[in-house]
Order: sequence, then structure tokens, then C-alpha cells
Amino acid sequence: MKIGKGLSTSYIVLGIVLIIIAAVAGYYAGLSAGKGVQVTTTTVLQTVTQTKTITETLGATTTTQTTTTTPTQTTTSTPTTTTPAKETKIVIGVTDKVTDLDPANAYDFYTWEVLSNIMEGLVKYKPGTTQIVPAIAERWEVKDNGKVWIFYLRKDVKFADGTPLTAKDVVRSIERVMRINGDPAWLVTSFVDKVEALDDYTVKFTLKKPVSYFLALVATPPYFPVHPAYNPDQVDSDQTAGGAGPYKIVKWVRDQELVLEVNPYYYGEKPKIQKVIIRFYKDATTLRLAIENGEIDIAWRTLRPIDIESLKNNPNLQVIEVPGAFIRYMILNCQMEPTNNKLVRQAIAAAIDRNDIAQRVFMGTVEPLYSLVPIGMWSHIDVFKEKYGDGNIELAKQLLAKAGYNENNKLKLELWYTPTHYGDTEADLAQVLKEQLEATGVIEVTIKSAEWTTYLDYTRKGMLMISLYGWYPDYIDPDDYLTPFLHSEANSWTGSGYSNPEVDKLLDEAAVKTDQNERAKYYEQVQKILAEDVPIIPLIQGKLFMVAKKDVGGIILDPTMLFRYYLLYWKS
Amino acid sequence: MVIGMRIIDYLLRLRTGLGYPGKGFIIAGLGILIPLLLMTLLAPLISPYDPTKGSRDILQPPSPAHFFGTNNLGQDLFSRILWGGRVVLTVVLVSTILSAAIGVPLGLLSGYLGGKIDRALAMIMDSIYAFPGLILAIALASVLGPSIINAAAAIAVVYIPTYFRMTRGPTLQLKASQYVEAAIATGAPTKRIIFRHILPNLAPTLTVVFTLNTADSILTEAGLSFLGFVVTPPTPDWGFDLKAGQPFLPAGYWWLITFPGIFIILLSLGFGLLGEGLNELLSPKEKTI
Amino acid sequence: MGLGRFIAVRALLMIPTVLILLTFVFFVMRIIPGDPILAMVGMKAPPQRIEELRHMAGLDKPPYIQYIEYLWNVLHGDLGRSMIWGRRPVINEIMDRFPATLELTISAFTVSVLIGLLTGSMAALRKGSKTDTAMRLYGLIAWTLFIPWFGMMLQIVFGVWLHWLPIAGRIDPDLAPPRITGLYVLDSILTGRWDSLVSAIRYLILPSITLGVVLSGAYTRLVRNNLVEVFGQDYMTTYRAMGLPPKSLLRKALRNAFIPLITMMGLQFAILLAGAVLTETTFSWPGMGTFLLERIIYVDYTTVQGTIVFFALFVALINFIVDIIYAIIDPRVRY
Repeated sequence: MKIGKGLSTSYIVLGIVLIIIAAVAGYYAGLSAGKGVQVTTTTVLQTVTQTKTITETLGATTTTQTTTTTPTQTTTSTPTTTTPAKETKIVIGVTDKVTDLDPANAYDFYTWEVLSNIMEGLVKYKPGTTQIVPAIAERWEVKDNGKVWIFYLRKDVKFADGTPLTAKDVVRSIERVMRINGDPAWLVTSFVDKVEALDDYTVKFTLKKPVSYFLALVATPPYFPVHPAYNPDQVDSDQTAGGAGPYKIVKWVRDQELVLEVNPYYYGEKPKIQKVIIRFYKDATTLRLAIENGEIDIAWRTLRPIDIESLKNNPNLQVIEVPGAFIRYMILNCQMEPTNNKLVRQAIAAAIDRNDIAQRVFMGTVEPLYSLVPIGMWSHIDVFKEKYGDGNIELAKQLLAKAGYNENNKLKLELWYTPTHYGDTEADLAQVLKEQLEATGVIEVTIKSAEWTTYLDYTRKGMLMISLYGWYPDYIDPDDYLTPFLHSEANSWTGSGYSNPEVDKLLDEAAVKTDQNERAKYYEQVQKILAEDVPIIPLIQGKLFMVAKKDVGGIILDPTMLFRYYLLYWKS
Repeated sequence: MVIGMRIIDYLLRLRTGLGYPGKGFIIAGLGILIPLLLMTLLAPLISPYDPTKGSRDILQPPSPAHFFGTNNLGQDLFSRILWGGRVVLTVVLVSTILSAAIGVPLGLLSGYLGGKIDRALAMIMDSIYAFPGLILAIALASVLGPSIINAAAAIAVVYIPTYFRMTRGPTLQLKASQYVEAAIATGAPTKRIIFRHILPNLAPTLTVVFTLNTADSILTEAGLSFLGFVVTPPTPDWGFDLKAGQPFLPAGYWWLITFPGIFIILLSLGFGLLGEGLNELLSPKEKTI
Repeated sequence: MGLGRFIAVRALLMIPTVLILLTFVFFVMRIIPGDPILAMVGMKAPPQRIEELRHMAGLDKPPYIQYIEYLWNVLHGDLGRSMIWGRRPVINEIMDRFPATLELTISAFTVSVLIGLLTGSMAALRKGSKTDTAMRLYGLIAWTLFIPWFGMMLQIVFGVWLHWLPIAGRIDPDLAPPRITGLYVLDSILTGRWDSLVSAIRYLILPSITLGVVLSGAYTRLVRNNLVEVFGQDYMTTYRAMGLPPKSLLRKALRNAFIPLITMMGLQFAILLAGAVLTETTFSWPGMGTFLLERIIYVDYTTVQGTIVFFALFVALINFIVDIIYAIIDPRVRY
């Protein structure tokens, strides 16, 4: 204890006092700031019938977000004490996060789902299909061979506070996305050259080059018109003003709760459920227990396969199942020994048994997938099944023999997976793949793993021989399932190093053609080349599962994977 | 970490002359450890299945065909437990030896030489020691990536301060003792003093510390493995298997989690009992009041 | 050295401890391949966009400059903003989770002290008997109970089979009391929400027992040895000679040993926190442990650093307080 000797006691005491004060002050500062994030409008919660009071309190919604440091002492009223009648409320549980309420920066599926319920684009998908129908725009024209798109807006569209939505808002919102240049901005900036308002209700897009799937792009959140309250130059992550969707946000506590209420100014058919509460759960176990105990009415993304299986036996619950657009695949490094050998890649493709994977790893909650274009989407063909079959050990052996491998000279492979990002079935998937490949007797697989960021870093640097990845589409079009993987100018993120000028050409041409049948021919050809070159092996396609109470109606799911809260209702 | 408390306790008892009766602990400890060690050593001979190969018999409850049942991939859990012991023991022994090999010499030198270096080292060691060990190991292991050697290194870092403290303190005392001062006065070289006069005096304490430390690092290894920082599948490891069984808990598949945990505890308990017994055996000054 | 001086020195010693850990974690995080930007932009972002974001976040500067800047900010009480998911201030993120960990550790600590006192005094009263050995064995076994396993066993018995208690989460979300301190039990009492209180306690039981029992292993022997020491003292011998019954003897001994015991138990706070990480993971408890693990995986530099600094400060502060109490009780410590 000699250290204190040289210092005068009073200084030291002063120091401690300061430390303690700082610690206490820090605690309370953090406390009140933490509270401030809850953008709560108590008055809205108390309103059972939606009448004029909502318009008055909406002012409060927009003002509270500017005064985020105000401790919300007013939260004494709670959902239970002000619960409206059962018919008007539905509670949905998820394990996902809402990352960023600003469509200029949000780039994950769950946030997009929420945005699609509180905002609307010029066009949208007809529920249950992948067909695009008018939304804020009642019609549109294509000019200049697909280079100029003109949208004519409805005249009765209003934001959730009654402000009319005009062409200027559309232009402002899209220019804002381009200016902020957030994560999903490429969906706009790579295609749109200029957007302008021809008059109050006409918007003109001039594209960089013709884009056949432009409507699919316009249906994505970066194209959604947002309320003028959004900061024009910066990402506005906790902004709750929303757009002109069927619902509006009335309460938002990050990672805990999001409360939506009907937007009284919505131009379309009003939702049947007055209030939708979304609860954020930490993991699949808590979500499962919540639906079992009746804490929530609907358990949405993502339950574990084993939980879905056992919840099917629960008489109080219904399990809804539809094909999803989520695909899983493995990327083979075409620049690295020994997977740079096409025969090796083909042998791997032949040895894999997708049915076994679907059963043992995912307990039947997924479907085997034999192409990168998902099942049910136009131009899909089962190319891998046609060429290799499933679990075709004999063919794999032949191909390997041709490549010079046998029992004495085994093919040594490294298979990488990432343990948390794709859920806890990932280690099982890697193990089953190893087992299947080793069943040839000629392959030896070493499994390696890295956490997500490291995994991405290694992948981008082309350091992984075989890696497991998954894909959610950005827009619903075969282009989004092929170009990012196979086009040599777009697939650097895969680390496969695959490049085939013929594929590039086919994809470029397909992107600018406007006729779907004509495009389909190009995509079919690309898929055939994919099965021949095997830079990527599709494995499975996810199904969407929703577990809900028996009397919840209006659950319509489709490959866009956006769950529409505004279609829900209570049976009986 | 708990080891620190036991050491305090140990020293306390040295000072106050408290103690417990019982070679029973050593016998009990060995009674657990010897079968466990045999089991893991003989795993290739007695394991009924390949621990890494799955089958179509998934999620089978314990039966004569599969003593501990099978997991969701159809792997035999009994075989996985047998083989998993090898991984656990390797990691734990490598890490304990590593931390002793670094901590003890540092503690000796630091305590013997004293001065600024000693104070600086002591401060660094104390700050690591004061911090929750598992959290530190997690941070290190996540940098290094999952592998047996990396995990051993991460665990070793956590325990270096324990050895350092356990060596430095007594060294300081011994150095101040007349016995060593006399040796210094006769002009004996430092090396000789350390190896002939100080180290032998530390040996009993260090043996006990080593054993108890092993018991503790088994739990740390299991914790790291549980969080996915030790092995990649299909390598069997108890902590990892426990984690793999967790998703199946709400659906009631109890055997997936029960057995790996029991073995972690048995192994740790075995070393714990042994350490307790050794503690008494090697501390002749103790008397029971 | 005087008490004031002792306090001062102990307070100053907290600074290097925190600094060493901060430095350590800062550079360790930089060694991990990949950075939070990669985790956030998604797989498809073009390389130039990633560079741009790195530049915006200041990650393109040399690490030592980042380090100096970070240190400067920390000295000014600014832990920075998280680098992922909404980029919230780190202090807010911590304050959202810390009460959960605090609630768990306080209640687990209580459980372990109670068990420790009970088993320890049983052993001390019948020193050398079979009870003593049994309690000693209990201490060892409790200490080796691997937290996730013990937690899962409780979950499967009391949650899955008997349906008595919830096995994951912190409270029924419908019943979460308004936030005053963030400690649900306290908040429900303060606001008079009895349904919330019941729910909070029901969720708290299994995790607290898990952590509490495991920790109690160390306390059993601590209590036993301290009591044995007290029993050995002259005044206790006098009491015994006076023919006081064992119960009164124990009461007197406990009165003497209580405060030193609690302080020594407090010294083990670091173990409590390490145990809390595993307990939280097992019970999906939304506290600092699960939070730290989640952010380590996404190498969220600022958040992980901030959390570690916070942990270190917290441990140091607890030790500091305990040391001072200890120094007041037992002046020998101060030399």
C-alpha cells in the first residue's frame, strides 16, 4: 500500500467523490435516456374507439419523438388496464428484431414486414400471390422500351395524421433514400437515374437502363413514400411517423414491444383488428412457451422445427404452412484446390441427399431444392435432380474416380458453417452433409466454423472452400436468385470466384427483356449451366410456419414472406 | 475463481490450525476419477458406435441398444460421452499445465525480485483475477476461433493469475524468512535459492492448487464448450452436446441433456474431492481442534 | 494507514484495473477478423460501400488512434454508440439490461447466503461429525453443479413436467411494471402491481435457485470455518461453560461472524457475475450476459468494450465497498 504515499489525501478524497458522483449520475442519466426511447402516447392507448381523439393525439406521437429525453412517467396505464375487447386486438410474437424503422436504412426481412404494414408503396403484391397490383399508384405506363416508368397516383391517399400524399412526397422519399445511401439504397440507386413529379399525382422514373422487373423493385420498402417528419438528410432509426399504410405505430419500445393501431386515413379497406401488438422474444424457446401459455395469439418467425412438430399436437392451436422464398445452399470455391476441379464439384452435388437433410435436420419443415430459383417461381426447373439425382453415391464415386480420387487418395474437403446466424440447426446441417459426403468412402470432410462477421470476412476474401449460406430475396424475381450468385460482376460476396461470360451475357439480356416467357428461356438456360458448373449447390427451400390460436382468421402467407397484419380477424 | 476462495480458506486453516479428518476424500476422488479416466482411455474399445456417425434412429430414449439414447441426428449418446471425455481432459490438462507453467515462474520471479516490476505484474494479475473468468475466456476464445488448442489457451490465461498469486505471496514470505536470508548471506546463487529453498516449500500448496484448479477449469471448459467455443461438430464434447440438446428441452427429450451434464459434474467433483484430500494430506501443520 | 487514506488508495487502484481490462478488450476485439460494418450491411453490399461505412465509423484509422480517441471519450463519460442495430448509445443499451442482471444476482446472492448460513452452521455445530462431512460434501457438489445443466434439470422438472414455473424469460410481458428502477420486483412493489410482483417472482425462482445453489457451495465452507474459528475463541468457551444451549451459542457466534462473512461473500462477486452469464443463457434472461454474448458474435466494438468497462467498474466498485467495510471492521487489513 505504498502507492498512495506521494499524493495528498484531500486530492484523493476529491477523486473518489467525483468517481462516485459520476457513477451515480451515469446510472441515472442512462436510466432516463433509456426510458426516453419509449415513444409512448398513453392517450392513444386509452382510446378504445377510434374517433377524432386520435387525430388530436397524433400530434403527440410526432412530438414525443423529438423530446426523447423526457422520462415517460406517464406510462402508468398499461395494456391490461386499457385492453379493448378481444375482437380488436391481436398479439403476435417474434424472435426477430426491428432493426431500423427508417426504410432508407432497414434491410432485413422482419423490419420490411413491419414497414409494409405501416407504409405502402406505389404498387404491392396481391396477398397470397406474387402478382403485383396497384396500391398508391392506380395505374402506370412503361415507355422508352422499359426505361421510363410513369405512375399515376390515387388522389385520396393520406398519411396517418391526415396529411395528403402527393407526387412530391414520393419524389422526396425516393430522393431521400438515394441521398442517405443506406444499406438497401442500391435497390434504388443501381436502377433509377432520375425521379420527378410531373404534377401532383404523376411520378416519372427515368432508369439507367431498361429493367424488366422494375415493378418488383418498386414494391420494396426503399420505394415507400414516408411522412415529411423523417429527417431529410439522415437515417431516422426510431421515427414512428410511418407512411400511408393500413396501420400506424402508437408505441415502440425497442426489442420489447411494438404497438400498431389502424390508420384512420388509410385509403383502402380498413383492417378488422384495431390494435396489433408485436412482442419481441429472446429465442425460440420463449416464443414457443408464449404461444403455449396463451400469452400471444400468433407465434411468427421463427420457431424451431422440433417445436413446430410438437405444437402440431396441441388442440388449441393451428399450424399454417406455406412455401417460403428462403433458400439455403452451399458455395463452392472455384479458385481453391481441390474444389476448382469441376468434377469434384459435380461429385459433391451428386452425393448430397436433400431429403435426408430435410428430414433429419429440419424435421420436414423445409423442402428439398434442386435449383437456385425457388419452387413455385416461374422458370424454376429441378436441374440438379435431373442431372445428378439425390444422394447418388455411385455417380459421385465415378466422378471422383475420373478426378483421380479413390480410397487411398481421398478427397479432403473443408466445410464451413456459422453457428448462430442461421439458428441452432446449423451445426446439425454441417454434420449431416459431412456424413453424406463421407458415405462415398472417397471424401474426408473437416467441419469448421466461424462467427458471422468473421465468416463474412473470410468469405469475401475467398478463404473458405465450402460454405453454407442462406438467401432471402430482395425482390420477387428469378433475377434476384441468379444474378447475385452467378454474374461475375455481382457475385464477389460469395467468394466463389465463379465467372462464366456466357452466364453473364444471358443474365444481362434477361434483365432487359420485358416478355416473361422470353425471359424464362434465358433463366432456364442459366440454371442448366449452373448444374453443369456447380459453383453453388442449392440444398433446401424454407417453408413458412405460423402457429396461431384456432380462432385467428385471415392468415395469408406467400413467398414474399411479408405477413399482412391488416388481413387478420377473429373467427366467431 | 472459486479456487481463490479455497486458497484463502486453506491459508486461513494453516494459520488457525483448523482442519478436517479424512483421507476419505482422496479415496472418493480417485474412486470417481479412475473409472472415468479408464472409460475415456478405452473409448475406442468399449464405445458401441462411431460417435460421429448418425443414423435413422433419431431421438431414441435410453434402451439396451443405446444406453443413453440417441440425439436428433441419430448419434449414440453413450459413445459420444465416452469419446467426449477425451476432448474435455485434453483441453483441461493442457490449459492447467500451461497456466501453471507461466504463472508459477512469474510469481516466483516477481515475488523474489520485488521492485517496480513486481508491483506492475501484481497489478495486472490482480485486475485479470478480479474480472469474471468465464467472460474473459469467452472474449479470448471468440478471437481465436473454436479449436481444442485455442480453448486451452483461453482458459490458461484465465488461471495464470491464480498461480501467480499463489506463488508470489508465499515467495515473499519465504524470502523474508531467516532461513532464506541466511542462504542469501552465505552467497548462494539466486537460482539455487529459488530451486532449493523456495520451490520445495511451495510444492505442497501448488499440488493442491493444481488439482483444485483442474476441477474448476473443467467447469470453465464446459461453459466455453456450451457456448460453442471449443469444438466444431461432429467432435463429441460434453458441453457442446449439452447445448445441442437444449432446443429439445421444451419438447421433453430429457436424455439429451441429462447425461452430458452428469459427466461434467462427476469429473469436476472427482478432482475436487481429490484436491480436498490432498489439501489435508499435504498440510501436516494442521490439527483438528 | 488511516481509514481515509486506505479508502483513497483503494479508489485509485480501481483505475488501473479498469484501464488494463479496457486496453486488453479493445485490442482483442480488433484482432477478430471482420468488423461490425460487415455484420450490418448484409452479404451483398459492394466493397466500396463497406469502405465508405468504415470511414464514417472511423474504423479506417489506425487502431492506436482509435484507442486514444476511445479512451478520451470514456474519460469524458461517453461510451459511444453501438455499431449495429439502431446504433443506440451504449450506456442506454447497458441500462436496459443491467437491472435484469442486478435483480438476478441479488436474489441469487440471497439464496446462496441463506443456504450457506444454514449448511455452514450445521457443519460448525457438529464439527467432526457425519453432518460436518456431509455438509462439506454438499459444498463440493454444489460448487461443481454445472450451471446450464442444473438449470435445465430444474426447467425440465418444474417447467416441462410439473408445469409449476416458467422456464424462460423475465416476466409475463403483459404484466411488466412501469420502469422506475428496472428491477421488476421492486418496481411492482413501488407501483402496487401485485400481479406483476407475482409474475416477476415466479420467473425469478428457477434462475435464482440455479445460481444461488451453485454459489452456496463456496459459502458453506466459508461459514463453517468462520464459525468454527469463533467457537474456538475464549468468550465462546466461557459461554459454553455457562451451559448455554447450542442454539443460543450459534446465535451469538453468528452475530459476531455475520458482517465479516457477508463481506467475504461480497468479495466473490466476480464469480457471481460469471455464473450469471451462464444462468442468463440457460433461462433466456435478458441481462448483461446474454447481451454481451450476442454482441461479441457480431463484434460490436463499442458495445462489447462498454459492457466490459461497465462490468469491470461494477466489480471494482463492489470490491471497493466490501474492502472499506472490511477495513472498518478489521483494522488489521489496512496495514
